[in-house]
Amino acid sequence: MRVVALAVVAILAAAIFVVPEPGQQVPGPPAPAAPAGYTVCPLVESARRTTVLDVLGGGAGEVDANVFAGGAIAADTTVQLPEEGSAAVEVSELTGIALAPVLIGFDDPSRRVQTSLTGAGIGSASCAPASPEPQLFLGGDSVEGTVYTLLLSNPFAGSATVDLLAASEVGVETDPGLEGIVVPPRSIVPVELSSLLPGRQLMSVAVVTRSGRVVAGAKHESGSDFSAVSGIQASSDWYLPFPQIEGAYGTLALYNPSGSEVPFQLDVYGPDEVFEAAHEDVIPARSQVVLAARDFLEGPGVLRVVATAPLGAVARFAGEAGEAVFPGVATPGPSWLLPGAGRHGASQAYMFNAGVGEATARLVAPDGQEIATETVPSGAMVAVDLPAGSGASVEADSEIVVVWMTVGDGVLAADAGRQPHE
Amino acid sequence: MTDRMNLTPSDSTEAPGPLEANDSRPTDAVSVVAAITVVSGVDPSATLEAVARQDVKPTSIRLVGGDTEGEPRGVVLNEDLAAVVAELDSTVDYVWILHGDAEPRPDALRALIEETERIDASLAGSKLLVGGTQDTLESVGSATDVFGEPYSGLDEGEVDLEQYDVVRDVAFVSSVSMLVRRDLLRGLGGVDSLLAPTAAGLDLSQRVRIAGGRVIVVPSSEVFHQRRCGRGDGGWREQSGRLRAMIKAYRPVTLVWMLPFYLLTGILDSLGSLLLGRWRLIPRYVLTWAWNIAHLSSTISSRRTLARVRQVGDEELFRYQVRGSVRLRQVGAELSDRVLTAFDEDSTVTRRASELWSAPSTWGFLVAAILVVVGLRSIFLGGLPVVRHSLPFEDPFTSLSRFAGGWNASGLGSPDAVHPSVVPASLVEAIVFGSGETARSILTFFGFLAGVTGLARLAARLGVGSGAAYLAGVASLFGMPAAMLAADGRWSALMGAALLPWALVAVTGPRPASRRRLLGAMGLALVTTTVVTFFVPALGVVPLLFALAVKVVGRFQSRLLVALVGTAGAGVGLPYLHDRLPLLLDGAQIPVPTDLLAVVVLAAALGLGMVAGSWRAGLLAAGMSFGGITIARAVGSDIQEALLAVSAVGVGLAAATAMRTWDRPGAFTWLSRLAGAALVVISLAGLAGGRAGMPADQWGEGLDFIRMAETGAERVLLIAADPARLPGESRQGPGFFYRTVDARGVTLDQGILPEFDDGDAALGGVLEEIASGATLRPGEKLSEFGIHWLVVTDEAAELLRPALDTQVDLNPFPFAEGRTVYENTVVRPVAEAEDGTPWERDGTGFVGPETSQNVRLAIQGNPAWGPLWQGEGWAGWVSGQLGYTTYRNRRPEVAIAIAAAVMLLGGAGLAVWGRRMP
Repeated sequence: MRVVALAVVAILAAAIFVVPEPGQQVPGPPAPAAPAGYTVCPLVESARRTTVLDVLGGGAGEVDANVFAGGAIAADTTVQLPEEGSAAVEVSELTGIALAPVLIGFDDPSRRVQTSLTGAGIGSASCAPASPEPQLFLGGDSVEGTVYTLLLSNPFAGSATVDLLAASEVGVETDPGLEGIVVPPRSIVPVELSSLLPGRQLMSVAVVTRSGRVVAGAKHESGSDFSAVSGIQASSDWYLPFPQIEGAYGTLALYNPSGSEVPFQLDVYGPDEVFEAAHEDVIPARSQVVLAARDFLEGPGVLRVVATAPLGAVARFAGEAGEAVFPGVATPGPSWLLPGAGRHGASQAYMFNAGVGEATARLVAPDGQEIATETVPSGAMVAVDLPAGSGASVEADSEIVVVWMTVGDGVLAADAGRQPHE
Repeated sequence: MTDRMNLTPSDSTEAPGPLEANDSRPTDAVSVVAAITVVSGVDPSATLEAVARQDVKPTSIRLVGGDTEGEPRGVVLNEDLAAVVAELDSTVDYVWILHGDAEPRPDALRALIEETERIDASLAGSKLLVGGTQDTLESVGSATDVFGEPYSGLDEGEVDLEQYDVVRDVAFVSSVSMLVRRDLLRGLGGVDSLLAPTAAGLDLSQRVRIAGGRVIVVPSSEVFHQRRCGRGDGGWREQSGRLRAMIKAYRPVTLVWMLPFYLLTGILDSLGSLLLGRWRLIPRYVLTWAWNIAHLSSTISSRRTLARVRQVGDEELFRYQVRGSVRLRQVGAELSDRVLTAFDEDSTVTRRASELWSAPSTWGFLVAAILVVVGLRSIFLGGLPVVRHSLPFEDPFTSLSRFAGGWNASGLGSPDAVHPSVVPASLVEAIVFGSGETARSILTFFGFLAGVTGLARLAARLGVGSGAAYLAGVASLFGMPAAMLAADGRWSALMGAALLPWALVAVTGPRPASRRRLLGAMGLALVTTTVVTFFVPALGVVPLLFALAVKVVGRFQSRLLVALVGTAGAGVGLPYLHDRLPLLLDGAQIPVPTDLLAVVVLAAALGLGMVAGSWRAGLLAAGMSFGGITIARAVGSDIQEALLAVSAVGVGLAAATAMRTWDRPGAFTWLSRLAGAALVVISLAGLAGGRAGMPADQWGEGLDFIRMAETGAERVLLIAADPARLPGESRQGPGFFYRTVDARGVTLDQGILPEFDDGDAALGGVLEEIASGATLRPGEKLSEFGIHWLVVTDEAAELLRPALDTQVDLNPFPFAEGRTVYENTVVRPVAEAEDGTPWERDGTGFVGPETSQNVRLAIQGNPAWGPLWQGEGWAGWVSGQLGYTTYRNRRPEVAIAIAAAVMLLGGAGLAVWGRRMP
C-alpha cells in the first residue's frame, strides 16, 4: 500500500504541471476613439474685432457654445440648428472679453465651425478639436511692423503644458520662453512670437503638448490686414491650390518638425499640364523651406507636395491685396464643408480634381439652395463664385480638394475646406 | 504550573554561605522546655506521648491554651506562650514550640538541638510530614515573597525522598515544631498571640532574623503533622497575620512601596481569581486590610519593640524571598494552564514548568509563534494593508445587518448576500469597542496563532504530531498555497486556512466515550465548521469530506456523525454561495502559478515522509496540497479560496509528516526530516514583508481628502489597468478594470461585487463613452451614479489620458500621490431629494430631512426599498415623507443569520458542556 500511495502522490504532483494555470484576467477591448464631439475656436476676439462662428454640417440639432477665460466659463449659449445644420454665433453678443476662445460642444461630430474675424482686416480660420499631435504653424514672420501671435487655448478641466519648437532663417530657436508654457484650465495664453523672436523673416512653429491638451491658433497682423490660421498636423502628402490674386504674392511654406531631414518633391498642376517632380529638395531637421508659387505656376494652379516623412505645408498670400494663409489639404474627398466662406463678402471656391477621371461637384448654400454644379477635369482646378453668406457645402462624385478665398478691398481671407468625416 | 524549590532560596540574589559548625556542648546538657499549643478539638495526648518518648527529655512540658482540668501528670498548663516565656528562668536554653496535633519522631528534638547548637542558630524548624502518611512532605522550611506569601516549593503530595535533607537558612519555619532560644524569645516578646499559626511562625522567624539570629530548617528532625490546626495556606486570619508580620518587620522605606504594591497585587489576584471562578479572595483581601487597620496600634507598638533589637536591615529578609508575587504567579499559572490546555491535547504545554520547558512542543510552539510575529510584524506597526480583499471593517451593526439580509452596498448595490466574513469581523470589532483596525489585527494575529497550534493538533490526531508540527503550521500559513492567497490579498481565505485545522481536528479522533462527550464533539464541530465557513463559505463541507477521506485511508479514526452535524454550520455560507452560483466555476480567478522549487520540495517531503514515517498521513497531505492546487486552477475564486486553504493545511501536514518520522536510524529518516525542514524554510519567504505575504498597502492611505469633501452618500470610481491594483473584485471596462466604492472608503463588505445588473451595464456604457472621448462632460454622466471622485492608477491614466485631457467637468486633483485623481464638479449624491438635498447613509439605508418630495436613489433598483419605491431605469425613487428609506428584506438570510447565532452559541455551549467531566 505504501508503494501505491507513493505512486498516487507522484501522480498528484505531476497533475500540477498538467493542468494549465488560470488565465490572466483581461479587460474589455479598448474603446475605439470616437469623433470629437466638440471643437475649439482659439482665435475669437470680442473687444477688438467682430467674431462670428459659423456652424455647418449635420442636420437639425443644437450646439453649446462656451466662452471660457481665466479658469471659468464666462458665457455660454445653446444654439438650435435647423434642418440644414447651419447656424452662426456672434461672440461679441455673448461676452466682451478681448480674447475669448470658445468651446463648442456638438450633438453631431460631423459639424464643422469656422471663425471669421472682421476688424483691421479680415481673417478666417477653422476651429479644431484638441489633438495630442504637434500643431504646426507655418508662413509667419516677425519683421518690423508685424505682430505674430500664437494663441494657446485650453478649454478643458486640466492644466496643460506645451513646448514651442520654432524654426526660422537663423535655424532652430532656443529661447527659454518657448519651453514649458503652462496653460491653466479654461484659459488662453497668448505668446507673441514677434516680441519673443523679433526680426525673423520666416518662421514656423510646432506646438508640442507635454501634458494636457491645447488648441492653438495664430494671427499674423501687418498693417491693414491680418491672417488667421489654425494649426495643422504633419502629413506626407499635401495639395495646395494657388489661385491667381492680383496684388498678392503666393508662397508655399514647408516645415519639417522631425529630427531628421526629409526629401520631398513638388508636382505642379498648371492650367494645361502636370509636371511631376518639378522640384525636388531636402528639408533639414526642424527647418523650413519657402517657395514662391510663381516659380512653378504661371497662372492659377495647384502644387502637390509629396514627402518621405510628414511635413507641414501652407499657402500664404501677401501683398497689397492683403494677406491670408490657409493650410494645405492632406486628403482629397468627395464631401466638403466651407462654413464661413462668404462671411466676409462674395468669395470664390477653388475645386481641384486630384483623381484620374472627371469630377462633378455641386455647391449648396447653407439654406439648401444650390449655388452651382461644376465639372472638374482631372488634374484641373475650377473656381466657383460663392455668394456672400455663411458658407457652402460641396458634394462631388469623386475625390476633390476645395479651398476658398475672399478678396476684399485690400484685405484677404482664405481657408481650406473641411470634410465632415475626416 | 509550579516550580520546584531549590535548596537555597531560588530567587535570592545572593545565596547564603555554607553553614558553619561551632563547638557545641553535649545535647543532654541543654535545657529545653516543650511548649505544646493545644489545637482546638484535638486531644494532645498523642503529642504529649511523642514528646515523652524523645531521646532528649525536655526539662519541662507545658500545655498551652489547654483545659486546666484533667491535667496530665508532669505537664504544666499555661494560658498562652507569653505566660510560658514569663515563667522560664535563665537555666532554660530553648523553648520547643509544638502544635498539639503534631507527633515528633523520638529523635526530633535531639536533631533540632544538635543542629541549632552546631551552627549557632537561633530558631530551628523541623521537617513536617503529613500525619497518617509515611513520607508525604508538608514543609521543609519556606520562603516568602515580599508580601509575606509563603512559598514552599513543594508539590502537592510530594514524597520525601530526602531530596531536601540539608540544613539551611530559610525565610521562616512553621510554628508546628520550632526550637527557639529562650533568651531571644523573651527579648522579642514571645510569639504574637494575635496571629494564626503559620503567620505566627513567619512573624517570629522574621523578628529572629532582624534581631541578628539565624533561622534554619533541620530536616533530620521529622514531625508528623495532623494538619488539624489548618494548613496555613488560606483564610483571612492567616493572610491578615502575614501582612501584620511584614508591616512589623520592614523598615518604613520598604513599607512605602510595599503596601501600595500589596494593594495592587490584591486587586489583580482577586480579578484573576474571578476568572478562575473563585470569588472569595475579594472579601478576604478586604478583611485583611480591615483587620490590620483595626490592629494598627498594636502593630505600631510591636514595630517599636522590634526596633530596639534590630540588628540587620530589610536586605537580610529579601535574601530569603522569591521575586515577584507568589499569588500572581499562581493565578497566572492557573490561567495559562487553562488556556494552554486548549492548544495541546496531550497537555504537554500545561505540564509542570520543568517539564514544560523541556518539552519539544513548547519550543516548537515558541519558535512558530515568533515566526508568526515576524511574519505579521507590520500589523503591529501600521496595521494590515488595505489591498485587494484585505479590507477594513465596516461598522459592526451595519455589517451584521447586511449579513442578515440587509442591503448589500457593494458596487451600485444589490440584494445579493454579502460575504459572511463580515460576521466574525463585526463580532470582534464590537468586542474591541468598534476599532476596526484593532479588530483586524487581533483577528489576524490570533488566527495565525490558532493556525499554528491547530495544525500541530491535527498532526497529532493523524499520528504525526511533534514539536516540529508547530513549525509545520508556519509552513501551512506561509507556504505556497497560502502565498497564492496572500498575493491576491485574500485575507479571509488566510483566516479560513488558519482555522481549518481546528474544524478538521473536531471530526478526527476516537469515538467519544460517552453521549455527553459525543454531544460536546458535535458542538465543537458545529462551531469550528461555522467559523471557517464564515471566512471561506465553500470550506463548510471540507470537514465532512476530510472525515470521509480519513475513513477511506484507514487506521485513523474519524467522526463521521460528528462531521455530519458540523456540516450544518456550512449553512451560513449558503446565501452567499447561492448568489455566486454563476461564478463558482468561472469568473475572475486567483492566480495559481507553479513554483517549481516549492512543488519539488513538497513532493520530496511527502515521498520521504511516507517512506520513513506515516504513508497514510502523507497520502492525506498530498491529496490536500497537490489536489487543492490542481483543482483550484479550474474553478472560480470562491472555490479556489477553499481549495487553496485545504492545500495550505495539506502543506503543513506534509511538513509535519516529513519531520515526524519514526525513530529508526537510516538515510530516509534524516532525508525526510531535512525535506520537511526545507519545506518550512522555503515558506519563510512569506515572512519577508511582515504582512502575512500580502502585497503592500494600496488603498489605506492617501485618499483621506475624499472623505473630507463628502456631501451626503457618494461613491468613488476606481480604475486600473490591472485588477490586482483594485480593492476587492472589479469589472472589465474598455481597456481597463474598474469598480465603485463608498466614498468613505472601501470596506470588507464591499470586497465582493454583486451580480452584474442594469446599473452596471449603464455604468459600463458611460465608461465606454468616456474612454472613447465621445463626451466632453464625463462628470455629468458619472454624477448619475453618485460618483464624486475618479481615481485612476498611473498605468490606466495613460490609457485614459486622451479622453480625460479633453473634458471639462472633472477637475484634476493635484495632491494624490501615485494616482491620478479627478473630482467631479457635477456632484450628485447617491441619495438626493428632488430639490437637491443630499441624504446621508444610515446603516444599510439612508436618512434625510422629512419632505414631501421624492428621493432618488442611485442604487440598482429593487422594489423592496421603500417607502413607495418607483423604478426609473436602473435606479429609482422613494418617498421622502418618513425622513428615511430602507430596504425591507424578504429573503431567507434573516433566518440564516438567526440559525448562525444559534449554531455558534449552542455549539459553543455544547462543546463546553460536553468536555466537562460529568
